[in-house]
Amino acid sequence: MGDLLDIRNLAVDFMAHEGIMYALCGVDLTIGKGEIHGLVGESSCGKSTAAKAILGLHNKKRTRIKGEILFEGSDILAMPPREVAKLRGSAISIIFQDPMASLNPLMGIGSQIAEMYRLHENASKRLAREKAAAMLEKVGLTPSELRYKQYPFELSGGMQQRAMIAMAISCSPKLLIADEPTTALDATIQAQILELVKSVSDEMGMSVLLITHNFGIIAELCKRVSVMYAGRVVETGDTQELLASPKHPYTIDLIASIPRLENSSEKLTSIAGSPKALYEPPVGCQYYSRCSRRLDICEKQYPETRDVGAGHKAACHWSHSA
Amino acid sequence: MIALVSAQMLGKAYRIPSRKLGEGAKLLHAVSDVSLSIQRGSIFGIVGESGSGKSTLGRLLIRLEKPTSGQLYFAGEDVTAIPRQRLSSQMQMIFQNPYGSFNPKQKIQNALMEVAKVHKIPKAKAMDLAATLIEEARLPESCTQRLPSELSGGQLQRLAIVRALMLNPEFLVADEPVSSLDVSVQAQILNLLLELKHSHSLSVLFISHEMPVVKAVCDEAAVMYLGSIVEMASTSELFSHPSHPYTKALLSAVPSLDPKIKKERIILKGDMPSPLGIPQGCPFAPRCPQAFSLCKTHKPVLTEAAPNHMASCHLVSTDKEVSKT
Repeated sequence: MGDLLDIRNLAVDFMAHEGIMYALCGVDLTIGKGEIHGLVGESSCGKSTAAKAILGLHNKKRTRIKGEILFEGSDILAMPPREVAKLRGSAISIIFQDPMASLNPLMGIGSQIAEMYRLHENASKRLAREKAAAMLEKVGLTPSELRYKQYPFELSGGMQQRAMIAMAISCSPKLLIADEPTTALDATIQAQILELVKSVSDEMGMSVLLITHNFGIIAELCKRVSVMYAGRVVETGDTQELLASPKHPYTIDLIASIPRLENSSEKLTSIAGSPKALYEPPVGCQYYSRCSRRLDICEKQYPETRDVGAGHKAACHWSHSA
Repeated sequence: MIALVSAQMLGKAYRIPSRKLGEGAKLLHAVSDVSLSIQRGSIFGIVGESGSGKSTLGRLLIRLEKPTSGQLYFAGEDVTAIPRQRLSSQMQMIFQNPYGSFNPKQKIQNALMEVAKVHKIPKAKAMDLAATLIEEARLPESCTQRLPSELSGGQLQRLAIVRALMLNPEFLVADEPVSSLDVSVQAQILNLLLELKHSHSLSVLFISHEMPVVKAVCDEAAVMYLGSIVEMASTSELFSHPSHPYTKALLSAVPSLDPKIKKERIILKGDMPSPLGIPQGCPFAPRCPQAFSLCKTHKPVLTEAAPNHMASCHLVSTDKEVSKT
């Protein structure tokens, strides 16, 4: 298959102070080569937990991870830590929501990018410097001679995020995980950053896992999208198809609750209640208590994920029975 | 009809002491020359990016900050003449993060009763009032016995609104009330504000950075950039016929859910300049895709682009002159 990343039945449990927290309960996700895949869901549904698991960033002592994460056919979870560390930054890299927290405040941004080449490609100091300057140019941090020497605090939020992207794509990774890359930025800056991510992905043939809670961003950027709820992927499909005919009630409700520029209806639909953290092993569908289309079976048995259209899957008793 | 809140050439400049010896303090113009009026029972939206001065404007209107220039009238009265106690019973504010606006160690019940105590409302009456408001906000009665940490963000934000309404104010400033909430919960708060507008004939100043949210709840809206209002109109007019280039760019930056609508996206270059060094001429000129020579030297003033639609842009004012001749 042409899949770059294939996550199968991934489960992550945290040993929290309050007891075991079931953060992910069987996530299936595939990302093709060069594809921008959206991962959408509300806060605490497990989006970032999944991203961290792909990079092997969870503390082994306090986390229990099951399932498979196949990256180019080999299971990241079964790899020795040294191998995973090699993948990080070179084959898979990540950018986070708050760039200021990810950049070293005591180091010029140019040197931070150059460090990537020194570390992963064993480049000489001079070569690393040249490559880093070229990378700054590429993400629009110009003039690169000036930006190279600047410290993170001298840059605005948008420019910091550009520097983060430069660092993340410096070693031409095959997969870039963007965890809410624009949530901390203003609307006009958000547009700049998203444009950059898209052009970089097209140019380098890089796959992107774009984590966000904003369906609008997904609609503009992603080819395929997965919707997460309470530690599970409840629906996956082509973005256009999924937005046009969502099959899972959660997706339907979520799309209906978004204020839009186009329609002008007085009242917004809201979803009653809010998602809860799982401190007990989940039984049945987690959306049951908030769902307006629930059936009796939903409370007792988790629905299996089935095809509901071409390349479109959903896990819901209601849509299966319809 | 007299507007409930009316501001004339309102401005706020902060003194920023110099860090260098022998250099005088600088003035940071957070809000400059803002004139607006908010009608009774309407929701007035303020949109803008961070640093545009929208929160400062909200705080000025509710007298949390003293303006350095201009006048402010509340129901026709000069606010400086209204005593603090009466002012605070007529205007209230809710903030972005509800967990930050409640005392984490105080039960909701006590937080609500504290308002009554300060304003000398008999406890029995206050209890009744709280119960009705809680029901109106569709919250379970039991939530009064809880601590803020035991409630979800959406529930707590609704309680913040309940607390603000305990004194039956006429004017509410909502500073980014839904920004920290999930989309599915956000709609609950917005709908509640819309209901309260009708049932309590409440006027709301709604501050937000999201255009679609403003469109969903506001009757009128103003767009701010670097402390000034660049465009102001009724929401339907503003969103259907935006005339300032900044408003157009903000609207085009909103990602659309419908893939069929392929908008021409205007990508603005660079960032908003620091309010310490507001550029000469039009503050938006350095980022404006349509800027011409006049924009760099002269600051445009708010002119009528259409009836009840104000915009401060040389393109709009020159268009007008051309059409007149």
